[in-house]
Amino acid sequence: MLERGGDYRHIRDYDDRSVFEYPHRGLPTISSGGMRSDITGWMFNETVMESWVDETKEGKYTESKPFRWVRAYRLGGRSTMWGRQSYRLCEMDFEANAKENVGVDWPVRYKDIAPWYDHVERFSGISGSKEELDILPDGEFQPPFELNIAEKKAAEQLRKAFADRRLIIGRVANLTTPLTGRVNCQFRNRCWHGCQFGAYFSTQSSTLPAAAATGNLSVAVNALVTRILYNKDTQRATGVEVLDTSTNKTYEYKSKIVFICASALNSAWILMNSATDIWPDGLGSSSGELGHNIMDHHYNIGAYGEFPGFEIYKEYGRRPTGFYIPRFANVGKDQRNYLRGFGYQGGASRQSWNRGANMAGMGKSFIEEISREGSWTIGMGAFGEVLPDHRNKISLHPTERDAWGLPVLNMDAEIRENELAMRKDMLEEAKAMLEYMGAKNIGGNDGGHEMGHGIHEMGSARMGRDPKTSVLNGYNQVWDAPNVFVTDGAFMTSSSCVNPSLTYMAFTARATHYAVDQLNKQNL
Amino acid sequence: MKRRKALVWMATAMGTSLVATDLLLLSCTPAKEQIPSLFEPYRSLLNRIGHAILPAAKQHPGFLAIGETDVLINILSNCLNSEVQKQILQGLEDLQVKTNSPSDNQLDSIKDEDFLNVLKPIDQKCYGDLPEEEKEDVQYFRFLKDAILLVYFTNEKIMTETFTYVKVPGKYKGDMEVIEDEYETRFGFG
Repeated sequence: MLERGGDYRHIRDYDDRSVFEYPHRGLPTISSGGMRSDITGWMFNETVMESWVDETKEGKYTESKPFRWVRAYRLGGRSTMWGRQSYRLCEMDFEANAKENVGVDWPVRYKDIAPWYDHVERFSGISGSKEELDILPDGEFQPPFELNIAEKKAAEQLRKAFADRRLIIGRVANLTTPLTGRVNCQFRNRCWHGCQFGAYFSTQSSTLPAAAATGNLSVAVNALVTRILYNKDTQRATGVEVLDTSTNKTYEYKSKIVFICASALNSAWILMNSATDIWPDGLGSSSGELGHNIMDHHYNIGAYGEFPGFEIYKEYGRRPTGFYIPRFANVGKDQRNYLRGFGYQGGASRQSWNRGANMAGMGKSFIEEISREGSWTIGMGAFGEVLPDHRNKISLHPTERDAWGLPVLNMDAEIRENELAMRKDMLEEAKAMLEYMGAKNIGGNDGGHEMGHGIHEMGSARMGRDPKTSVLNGYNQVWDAPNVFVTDGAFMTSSSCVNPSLTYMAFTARATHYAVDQLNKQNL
Repeated sequence: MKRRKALVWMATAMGTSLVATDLLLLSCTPAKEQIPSLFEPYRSLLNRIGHAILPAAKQHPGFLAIGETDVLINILSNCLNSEVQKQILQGLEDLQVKTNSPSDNQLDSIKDEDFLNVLKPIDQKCYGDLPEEEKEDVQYFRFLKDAILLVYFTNEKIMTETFTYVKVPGKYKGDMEVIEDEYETRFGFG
């Protein structure tokens, strides 16, 4: 396993400080990591800032259109900071491109991947409730986390108002039942810092220990894969070239097969940087689709309100998930003036002391008031599907170079007409549902979306049925070099509206199983 | 305000809670390297404002007692964009004028009651119904209040002694009954 970033060990390297131990109490500062100044939000604060790429050290990408590329270069990548929401794509997702003549058809159907969803759910530990919804298939779940009393009421009200809509607890890769070497969630709300209990799925807590237990794992860190080595006679990759970023020396690793899982954009970068006289635009470029069809989930839009009626109740513990409302737009008889749909993630909770910054008052009565539980509030944000579009692309910049003298990516992608039309519904439906639930003083906002901000980048080396229109086949193999597999978000043929990581895991497991089988048959 | 609410619901949805408040949004275009002394000349004034907003109360030792002015000055100096810093500095200078204390060490002679009488109209205007453009001259007070609350309520002594801070809750209950008059116990950040 080759990792371009540094080492990051389970438990040993996790930050266990409480907020009062941080010099700025969690606020990011100019010197807290060099993160891009326009990327802000709840996940970018002093306590986790060092987890993200420092662009002042690594180099910056270029943008033909605004793009937010959120990277984590260290062992395990973003797997310790991910949102952990875990949902299956459904049959409709796999069929939509073909039915609607969008992009290309997925080369697989739900039945092909369902057993692999089962497999990775059991291994990683996904908690959730079984709902028997076609739009959100059930899986091999651990027992679900609990909706709080306000959310239970919201779910009940929603069901009364809309027969086809559900508010369920989020399906999340946090354990409610221990697995080997891992303890169930302790409700600390510290997932972003790594979990000493191994209570959520990450590379560190789960896959690396399992791989190490085979006795066949070697890990090299600071190993930046610069290109794939290719033998034009055998039409196979022979290995990879690696730049050791700690010594600036270059090495070659030889291998029968190569799995690229560098996150969607960097995997495409590796392929594009592997140009030869046969493939001048990079390995896997014969279709002209490498680096195109960039997708994300468009979000940063939703609604909120006060939710009275539960004043005698509060929560105890810090739950690692909120609620989920599965897609209903363009499902069944529901028809909209755009394609595809969106889901909502949200939660209800009581306001805390920080409400004091938005209210008048000073003195003893003020400090006493804000020390007590505040009003219940409820809110939800939408995640919408982005259509694959050839015009949304990344490419190697002809002149700009990163800290290692390597070409940087240029981003040229945006949400378009279909997504913009969808966003109107994403906002209005949220407000309407909150009203039906019983919320008061409802507000909503559309903060706009720049590609990448969803941190669900996908599609840069899509799979398909035809090598003329896709980069990968249905087993994640590069058409032009079948012993090269790409198994991160790059392979996604469409984006669905659900969080994609579980699907990456399922396809990765399927592809590795296939690769071993093919190796044993000497087909690779 | 809307952006803050949006952040809160997004954080809630992801099963986390914001440690900071509006200030998290203001750090997006931080000032170039600031020396910590930018707000140092206003140390006493900041203490007085902190004391006015958060005095000692029932179980609360109050802002002065926790001795965290250094943290407040660090936050104001290192975490805010230059535009907000200018607003706050201008606001602090205005307060010096209104309290007839052109230098920080002259504040000691001002009684708490007189100081409160200066701050209360600012607080009322800041959170009142006036259009936003008519409140620009007092917006600095909202930022200061935000920072003071953050420094105070995330202080170790306050979190662990005044409030019940459970680092490892071990369980979740979504329908626990509130005990009358108790302080909040969820404490969003672990």
